[in-house]
Formats: sequence, structure tokens, C-alpha cells
Amino acid sequence: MFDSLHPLITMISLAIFGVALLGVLVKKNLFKIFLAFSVAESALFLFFIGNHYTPGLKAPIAADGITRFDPAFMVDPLPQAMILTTIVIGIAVSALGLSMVIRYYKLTGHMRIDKMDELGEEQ
Amino acid sequence: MSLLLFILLPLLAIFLMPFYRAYLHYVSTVLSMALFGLALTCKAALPLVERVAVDLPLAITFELSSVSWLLVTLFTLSMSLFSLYHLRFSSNKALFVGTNMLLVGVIGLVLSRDIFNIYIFFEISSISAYLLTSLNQDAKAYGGAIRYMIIGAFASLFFLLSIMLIYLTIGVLDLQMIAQRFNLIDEQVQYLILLSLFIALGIKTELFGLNFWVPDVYQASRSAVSGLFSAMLSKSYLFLLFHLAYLLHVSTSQMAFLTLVAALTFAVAEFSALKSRETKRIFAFSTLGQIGLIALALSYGDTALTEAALFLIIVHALAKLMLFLALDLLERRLGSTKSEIFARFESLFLMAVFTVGALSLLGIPPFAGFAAKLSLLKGLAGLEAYGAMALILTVSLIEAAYLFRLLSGFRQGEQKMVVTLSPLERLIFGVMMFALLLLGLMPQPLLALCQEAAQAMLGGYHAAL
Repeated sequence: MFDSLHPLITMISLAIFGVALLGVLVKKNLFKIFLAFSVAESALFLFFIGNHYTPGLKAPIAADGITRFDPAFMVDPLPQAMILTTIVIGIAVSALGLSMVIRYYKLTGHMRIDKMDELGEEQ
Repeated sequence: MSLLLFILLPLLAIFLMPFYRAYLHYVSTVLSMALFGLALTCKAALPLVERVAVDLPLAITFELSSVSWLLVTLFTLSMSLFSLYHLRFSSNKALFVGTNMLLVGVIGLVLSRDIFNIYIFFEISSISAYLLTSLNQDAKAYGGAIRYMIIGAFASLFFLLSIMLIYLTIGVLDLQMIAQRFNLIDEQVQYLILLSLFIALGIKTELFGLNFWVPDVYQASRSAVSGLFSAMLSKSYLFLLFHLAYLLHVSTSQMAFLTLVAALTFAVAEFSALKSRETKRIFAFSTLGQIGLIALALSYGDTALTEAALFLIIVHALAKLMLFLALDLLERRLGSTKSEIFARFESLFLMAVFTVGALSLLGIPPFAGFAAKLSLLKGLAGLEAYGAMALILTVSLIEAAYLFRLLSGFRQGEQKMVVTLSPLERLIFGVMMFALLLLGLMPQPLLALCQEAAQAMLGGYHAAL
């Protein structure tokens, strides 16, 4: 059963990634575009963490009897640390992006990417 | 001397900001000049490698090689000139945070020898660039920043995907170890990793077909900030793209693809500049064109051409920073960056600044751009790449057409506003003009440094091929 786990996780996460990328390309609302980016990022997290998960091994946390780094009993801790870092960065970027969308909306009255023409004839 | 100082000192300055809120412009100047001094003192001890926290393969490694030293020195020098220029303005929190974070990001990008660490600095430099683009806080600035974020998020996703694929298949994050094992993994996965890296770094490097919003971003930003993007940000990503390409020993056919993209970037950007009537946009297209030219030289993987490309990186950064700072000065006085402003001001000094900058970009002797383009053409002649030589000479004519059109504005207009420069502004622009002239008359010392850097950058690329 577990032999098919990693390919299944890969297929599901890459399908979500593809749908989210499609969302980025076809959606016109800036809020939805940033939301699609978050979904795409989460799909990558699922892909990476899922592929490093091995049934039967413990989480790499200094508890539940784990006292030292031993790959025979726990999953690789590096992907988890990487994803935690990436989540923090992703939240920061999303927060900055959405705050800019709000400011842009207050100044222009819309948040549609196809109506962004503030450079006008200056181009 | 610890390499971490280049990262920690600007970050510390940001965290301690509440203690000197009214003197941020002074702190920024002192800090960037101190980092520039620090970079100069490192030259004697090259190469420097520093490992942080734990042992390999989990260690975070920083490396200051001849090439990263050249870039760190360029970035700290650019930041010093930028900060000196801003000394006469009042303290600005967002500008202080944005520029210092940008400095941390670009220095981290060239120092890191760990792919995940590179991702962290990739994001730090991106976030600071978004913040800096929105500095004016009007619809134009936010529009530009949002566009930049969207295209940047796209790049970020693909960079993350490539890191994940690398770790899943190779199991390490250290660049040297990745390089050693890269050829052992499945060929299709290799292609996927290289494609993801190309999309991510191609967008960030502003290559043709991948980043179509660059001129909008430059136009939405303050002129001085655009100067920093041109001098530091695009150069750091360009270095990263080819540093990874050489490390991973990409094949000659893949390099030929990069040559094609670079040539397209060079030609399309310069043609686009020709039809624009907005100075910031023209300089943005010119930056894109020069990036294409540098990428074209780097894509041959040849020592002489890499040396010329590194020389061009430095010369272009200096010339473009000078032009954007001068444009910022005009924008503040005249309230516009349309090309008509060249007919609306009177200042012999500023006219000299724009003329020297434009002539250097064009590669007219005796300025530094001439020495850069000459060594580039010599390198191409050595490889018998006559098509590339013809392209460079042809596109340079187009470049000459739009730059001379801009400069011809000086002779037009009747009611001109007299623009006076402060002694400090004269000193900054004077030093930059002198540097461009000196590097044009005596390019050998810098070319020797670039040659050393080129050998460090190429490493065992030829041997592997």
C-alpha cells in the first residue's frame, strides 16, 4: 500500500500546483491571483513533505522517545525545517502583496489586473 | 574577518533603527562605506570560505571567491554612492529598510554556497525590491509593485520547485556537492531542474520573453531606486544564473539556447527603447539591452568573454547608477521624467553627466564602455562568432539613435530652468564621471581583476564539457 504513496502524493500535489498556476494566469482579480499563488506554494509543500514522509518513522521532534539524530527512527528533519522557513517567507510575501492590493484599491477603486493602466500615456 | 558581517551589519542597523530614527541617512552612508572598506580589505585573503552552524551536508556555507568579491565590492560601492546622494534629504524609514535589505539580499545571493540559502536571499532581495518600488505610495507605484510581485512570485515558485527536485534526487543543498552528483541523476529530472531554474532566474534576470513588466517597474519606482535595481539587483541574478549554469555543467546546446535568448533580449530591448518617449523607460530598456549583451558574452563559457562580461557589469552599473541618480535630481526639480525635460533645464554639469553616461553606454572612446565593448568584440572574434559581432555593432547603432535623440534635447527649448547642484552632488557625479574616464583610459588593472574572477567563475566548466 505504501509503495504507491509517494507517486500518489506527487500526482495530487502537482495537479493542485497546475490548477493554481492556471488560476494565476486566467484570473483577473488581484486578490484571487495572490490566493492562487498561495495555493500553488502549498501544493509544493505537500509534494516535498509528502515525498519525505515514510510510514512508521517518527516526526523529527525531540520528544516521544527521540533524543538524538537517527535516520532509522525518524523522518529527515531538513525538509521540515525548509518548509517551515518557506511558509514564513510565503506569509510575509502574501501579507505585503495583499496590503499593496488594498492600498491600490483605495487609490483606484478597482483591483483588476486587466484595468491596471495607471502609467497611461506615459509609456 | 567574518563574511557574516556583510549580512549581519545591515540587518543589525535595521533592527536598531528606533534608536537613530532621525539620522537614518547618515547611518546608511557610514554603514555602506564601512562595508565597502571591509570588502576592499578582504581582497588579500581570497578565497574565503566560512561554514556556519553545523558540518556538511547541513552546513550553511558562504564563499568569497574572486568573482563574488568583485560583485560585493561593486554592490557596496553602488550603495555608498546612493546613500551619499540621499544625504541631503530627510531621514526615510522605508527607504532605509528597503535599501539595506536589498544590500543584504544581493550580497547573500553572491556569497551563498547553499541552494536553500540562496532561496532565502532571493526572497529577501525580492521583498525589498517590492517595497522600494512602492515608495512613492501612489497608484503608479503600487501598480508597479503589484506587477513586480506577481512576476516575482512566479519566479519564486519555480525556484522552490527546482530546490525541492534537487533535494529529492540528490539529497544535499551544498552547491559543490550538487555539482558533483548532478550528472548522476535521471536525465529527464535534470532537464526539469534546469528548466525550473531557467524560468526563475530568467524572470529575475529580466531576460526576453520571461519578464515583460520590467520597464513598468522601473517607471513606477523612483529614479534613484531604479538605479539601484540596475546596478545591483539585475547583476546579482545574472551572476547567479550563469554561476549555476557553469556549476551544473550545462551542455553546449543548452548554452546555445541561452545565447539565443540573450541575443533576443539585447535586440528587442534596444528596439523598444527607440520608440519610447519616457526617459526612465528608455533607461530601463537600455538596462535590459545591456543585460542581454552581458548574458550573450557569458553564454559562451569562454574565459576572455567572461572577463569582458564582468568588466561590462561593473562599467554598466556605474554608468547606469550615475544616469538614474542624475535623472532623479531632474525629476525632483522639474517633476517629470519625460524626454522633453532635456530641453527644459540649464546646467552644464548635468549635461556633462548625461553625456558621459550615454557615451560610456554606447562604447565611445575614451570612456569605460569602449574598453568593455572592445574586449567583448575581441573575445567574440577569438571564437569566430561573427554573427554575434554583427548583432552587437548593428544594435549599437540603434542604441546610439535613441541616446543621441535624448542628448539633442539640450539644444532645444528657450525658457530653461537653471538647475544648481550642491557641492556634495558635484562630488558624487564628478567621481563617477572620473571613474568612467579612468577605466576607459586605463582598463588594465580592472581587466586583470576580471580575468581572475572569470577563471574563478568558470571553474572546471570547460574540463567537464
